[in-house]
Amino acid sequence: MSTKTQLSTPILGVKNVSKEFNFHGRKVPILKDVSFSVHENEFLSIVGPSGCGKSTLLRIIMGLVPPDKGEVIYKGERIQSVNPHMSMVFQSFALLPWLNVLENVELGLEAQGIPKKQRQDRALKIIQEVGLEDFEDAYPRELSGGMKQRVGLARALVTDPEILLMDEPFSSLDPLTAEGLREELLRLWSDKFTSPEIVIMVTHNVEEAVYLSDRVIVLSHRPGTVLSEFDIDLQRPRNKRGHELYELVDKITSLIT
Amino acid sequence: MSIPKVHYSRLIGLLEALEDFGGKVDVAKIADDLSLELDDLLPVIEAAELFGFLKTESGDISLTNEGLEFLSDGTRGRKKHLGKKLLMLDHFKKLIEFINQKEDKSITKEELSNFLAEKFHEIDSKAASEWTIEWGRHGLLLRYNSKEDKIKLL
Repeated sequence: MSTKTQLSTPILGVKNVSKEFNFHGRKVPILKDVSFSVHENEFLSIVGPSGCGKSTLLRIIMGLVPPDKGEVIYKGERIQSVNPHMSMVFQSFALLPWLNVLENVELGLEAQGIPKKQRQDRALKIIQEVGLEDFEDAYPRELSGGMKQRVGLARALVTDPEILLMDEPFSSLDPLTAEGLREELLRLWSDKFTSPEIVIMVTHNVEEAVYLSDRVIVLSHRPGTVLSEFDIDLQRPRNKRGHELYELVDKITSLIT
Repeated sequence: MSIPKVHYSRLIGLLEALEDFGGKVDVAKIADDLSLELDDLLPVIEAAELFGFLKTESGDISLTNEGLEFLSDGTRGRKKHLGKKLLMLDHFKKLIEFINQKEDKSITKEELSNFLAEKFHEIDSKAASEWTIEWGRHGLLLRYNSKEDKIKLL
């Protein structure tokens, strides 16, 4: 159970969040009384069985969807609309097919009213950081899944977000590609230039969550409630195929299944 | 051998996984661990072997010193390293000569495809030209703008 992270002031607080969806006139509870906080420099993962409301929770955190009950507090303030200090990486990449890599990445900055020249400089720098150099002219159809998700990552990071939200970022990639991209993410996470203060990742892959995170929150089957939290105290760089990691994976998996 | 017909990110993934296994592992075991069919994994292994990053020996694959070096390079370092390996392939050597002979130092995708069919007898030369552009971009050798349909040297 988590203890050490409660010492500092949290940057983000999710407080008693509940959400229902209306399905053909029937109310279906998705999330029930979910509470947790996230602290500076934390990589947090939320795991749970499919349909436990993980993705909905991420959208509520970002302010895209309002909760029915409860609230999200960011740096002491209640979130009422989309939080500009956060950006999201999607499972489906969500790239615009008629824009090339550079234009897709710049899109993240356009809404902020930054001048064209600055926008381009910043985008080119991020493109290099995520390993997309020499692909600036490429259109999404010319890219492999792994490269598409790098564009997704670059577009999210270009705004220099304080919190990076990731919704199953590796689950539509083939296992080998995912393997490489996870390493890349850890490298970006430790890199000062691109590093957001917090990463919150939603995944159904327990192994991936334990490998990447400082803390893992386990949600129950629908309606999602917090079943448990685990501090992952394994030293980095971690061995993904190490014995200690697997013990934790087993422990968490047994809670969900 | 012609250029590998696998994605660069899969090559990286294989090398990273192999490193986790202590640099040497049974092929069947790593395939199992990654939930991949062997015939899905083999082209990636061949690609890594072609570049000298990995060795195969009686059912085991192991990282070479060069493979380890490649992994320890940063994102850009890896691309540079890959570029050097690509330049050792006949495929890229001849292609670069071909582009350099052109007046404006550029070719179209169709010219690339024809070149690959003639020089390297690629059956699916269209697909081969896509792979060439992809590897050329990863190795920081080629630049391609699909709007202008121009392949240039970087």
